[in-house]
Amino acid sequence: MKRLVSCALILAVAAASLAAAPAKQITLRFSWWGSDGRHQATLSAIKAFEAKNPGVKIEAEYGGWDGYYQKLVTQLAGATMPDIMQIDQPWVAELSNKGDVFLTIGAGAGIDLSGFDASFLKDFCSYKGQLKGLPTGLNGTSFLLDKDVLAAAGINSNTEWTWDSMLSEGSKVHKKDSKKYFLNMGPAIMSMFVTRYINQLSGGVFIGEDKKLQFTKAQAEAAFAYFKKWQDQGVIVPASSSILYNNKEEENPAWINGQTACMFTWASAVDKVRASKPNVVIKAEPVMPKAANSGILVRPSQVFAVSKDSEHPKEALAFLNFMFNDPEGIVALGSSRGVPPTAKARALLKEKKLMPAEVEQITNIALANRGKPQTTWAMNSEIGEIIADVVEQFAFDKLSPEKAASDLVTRLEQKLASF
Amino acid sequence: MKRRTASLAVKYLGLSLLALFMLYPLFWMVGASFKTNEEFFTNPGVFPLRPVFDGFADGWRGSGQFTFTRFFANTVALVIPTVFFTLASSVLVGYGFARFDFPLKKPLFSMMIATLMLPGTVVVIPRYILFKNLGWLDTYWPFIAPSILGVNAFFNFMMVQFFRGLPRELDESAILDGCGSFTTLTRILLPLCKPAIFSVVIFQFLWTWNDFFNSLLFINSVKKYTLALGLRMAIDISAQVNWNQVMAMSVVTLIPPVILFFAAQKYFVEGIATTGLKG
Amino acid sequence: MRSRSRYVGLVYILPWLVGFLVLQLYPLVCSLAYSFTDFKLLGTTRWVGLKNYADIFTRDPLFWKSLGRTTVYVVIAVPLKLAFALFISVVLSGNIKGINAFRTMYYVPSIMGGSIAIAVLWRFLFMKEGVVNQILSLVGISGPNWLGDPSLALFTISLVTVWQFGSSMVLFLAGLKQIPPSLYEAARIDGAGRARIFLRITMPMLSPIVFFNLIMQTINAFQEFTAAFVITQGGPLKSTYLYGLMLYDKGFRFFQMGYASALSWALFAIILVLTLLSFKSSESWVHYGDAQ
Repeated sequence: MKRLVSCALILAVAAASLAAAPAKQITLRFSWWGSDGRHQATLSAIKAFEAKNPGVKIEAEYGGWDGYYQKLVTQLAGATMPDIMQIDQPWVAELSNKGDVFLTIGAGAGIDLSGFDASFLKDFCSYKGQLKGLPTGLNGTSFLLDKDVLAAAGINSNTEWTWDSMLSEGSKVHKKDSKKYFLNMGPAIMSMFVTRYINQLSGGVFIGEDKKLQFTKAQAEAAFAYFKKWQDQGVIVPASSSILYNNKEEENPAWINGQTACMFTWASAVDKVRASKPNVVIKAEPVMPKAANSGILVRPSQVFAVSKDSEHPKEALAFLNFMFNDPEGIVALGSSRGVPPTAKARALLKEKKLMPAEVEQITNIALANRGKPQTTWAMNSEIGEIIADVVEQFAFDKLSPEKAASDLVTRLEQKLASF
Repeated sequence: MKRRTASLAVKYLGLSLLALFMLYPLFWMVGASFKTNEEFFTNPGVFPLRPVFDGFADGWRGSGQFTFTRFFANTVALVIPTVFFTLASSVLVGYGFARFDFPLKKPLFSMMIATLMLPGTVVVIPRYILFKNLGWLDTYWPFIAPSILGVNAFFNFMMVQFFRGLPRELDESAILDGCGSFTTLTRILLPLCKPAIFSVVIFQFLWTWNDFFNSLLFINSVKKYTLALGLRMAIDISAQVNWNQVMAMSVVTLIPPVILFFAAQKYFVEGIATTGLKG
Repeated sequence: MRSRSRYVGLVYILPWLVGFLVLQLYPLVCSLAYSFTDFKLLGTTRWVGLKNYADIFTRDPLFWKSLGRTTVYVVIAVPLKLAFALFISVVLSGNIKGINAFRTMYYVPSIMGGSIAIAVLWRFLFMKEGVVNQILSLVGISGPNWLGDPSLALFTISLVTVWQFGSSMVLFLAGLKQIPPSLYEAARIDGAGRARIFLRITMPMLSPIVFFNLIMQTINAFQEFTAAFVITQGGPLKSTYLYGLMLYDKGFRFFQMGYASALSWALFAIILVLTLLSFKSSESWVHYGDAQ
């Protein structure tokens, strides 16, 4: 009997110790893009998390921007998506529209969502009402102006820019010196401004969720007529020169060497711009008085999403929670992804003096003026391609304002009908 | 005699000028490794006006987890087997198509050439799925296995053309001497094909050394990254990039292929001795 | 001896055969199948039969534009590149001191390949106030807008591949090295001049390599992607929107993988026809050593 009891005791202890043994090691794959600063910051955040969670290992798959999207899409097709991925905000809708790709982050999923601005989450990280990801930071847009060029043309650098003042003041630069221009902007960014102008005129969001245009051809024509003035009055660099630096205006020697006064930027890119041009002032973009939709874009710097096929969603969400809500995670990540999305994080970074002033300034300006969020269709890449194409032809003088407006409307309606 | 030297001088002058054109981008890249970001985008000249010297050291250290030492080692581990197997298989396959007749030869040859004609973009996804099902993701097998199996028709076709340039009498006299098909290949034909071998080695080395997209797709772990991936790792459109570091590392990455090319040239210079065939 | 060799050839090509069946056939068949569907990478896929192909030829003006630009690119780039490569190879194969160094220097551009520096540098060289125009202004020529002018941009892009003629040059040099010197000696003894030697001996002996380079460079040129992607992104006004860019956009940016597959096979058909024509013509001008 004694033997039996001791045997059972031994077995019980063995079973108990087995049950108390640490769980099997879980590996999560986490992919992001960035440059050196962000890589280092994110790696240290991972390290801090792993230290706190010994059973979880995070495989970091990081690199540059080149090819990131193509690889992600291929992984999607091959069902080998990483557990946690950094994505660009338009991809939330673009990919979710094609299939159920991201895990829905519901209430009680293990993440404290209270620190986030609820409307921000609804507007930018959700698809059809379901939260599909979390913003890694806040990003917004503004103008960046070269103080020296402004001074040389007799323009006050404190000017608050309106559509009219861009014509009246902005044309001074080229009038003073025919080699200089006010606006360093290529057709791609101009197409963003064209849609912005139209949205300010119409108060709509360009294309509704119902796939219908929310502006009239007349409004589009008015917009193009305005932008023709930019060209006619020498406000903007001619398209044949700016096209070389389309979407990379900060690389244009004309900007760096002080031949142009103003360029458009996202807050997240301000470091990049200032690296080659320190003496700049930040100003808001023009908004029409009483515009129902300012069209000014704010958006998440990037979005962290979890794959629907992840085998360890609980741990993945725990990691997200760490990065957003745990002070160690917040400090480790710093401002490598822009202004943090939660008030708590912003306060913490400010306290530790980790928040760069300009990034915050731009974000605040944009937030103050922010327009209605874009819809799935407005962000669709084929739609974007059509708008960019029409504006490029317009910028190269191949289309008159009337023709540009009618082409835009016709092609957009055709494409939307085919979706 | 004077006319000879004059024309020779003109020749050298022309060649040197052309060489300058060819090399200007390289010089610019080297100069750019010492430029600040501001100068990188404004100064098209080779020499930096305000040089900075940390490009090489900082660039080599990379983003923290792994240095370029690791990327170099990885790239060598990837490239050497790929080149070796490509050479072996393309020689065999080229020999087969060039020197033998067999059933279905024409359709097979056409199919082989045809594989070059389909743009790669649309086979990316099926290839990815295939390699995933074979369990080769995050390894170098997607590169090495195709090279073992001589899948790259470029090299097969190249060897076919070089072999076909050699007269059949060589094979015939070898056979009369008692050689089998394999010894004919190794003893007689290959030694005459040294320039072709050099070309296969140099091209496959270079393409694999510089390959970016396939490496990106199939390699997930940063510790297995090759140089091509390491070079672009820190380039993000919306963040500040230290271009002098990127340029410095680009220059360093160029050096092994250049050395290989320069050193292997003695196989080039070695032409074929008179073969005792046509007088 | 001869009859035994009926299947020996198959043994030699076995690696390729296996590789083709195991590694290449599946992706090829897949992409062909995609081309008859509306494969969108995600979601449901429907069979659409020949609709993609019909749309390509009747409803897609961008297809014709892109195909046209790509053809122009091929016609400019390939002959220029091959002519350069051939000329330089002939010059270099003579007895020149420092030939190893020259050969390496001419090959460096090919080594630099898709380097990130190329995009920045090409813009420096060819923008309106760029280096090329500055040099031209020294001799009083006001240079055009090489990259910003839609009618010139494609030519400027093709200069990238012409600049990289080194790879074709390497093959020409290899081919030249394989010509037996005895042939040259015999011709010189017969009193033939340089031009005659070149036309009657060098070119015919080199023709297998000329043919190879022609085919390969043409096939590659039709599929060109990188230079146009990084330097001009297909602009301005789609003047450099090469076929490879269109495939990338349709397949990976717009998720129209079925349509993109059809586009690829359409290009395949075009290249196939051109290659077959070349092979047919090669019977008259390509001289093989084994054609006894």
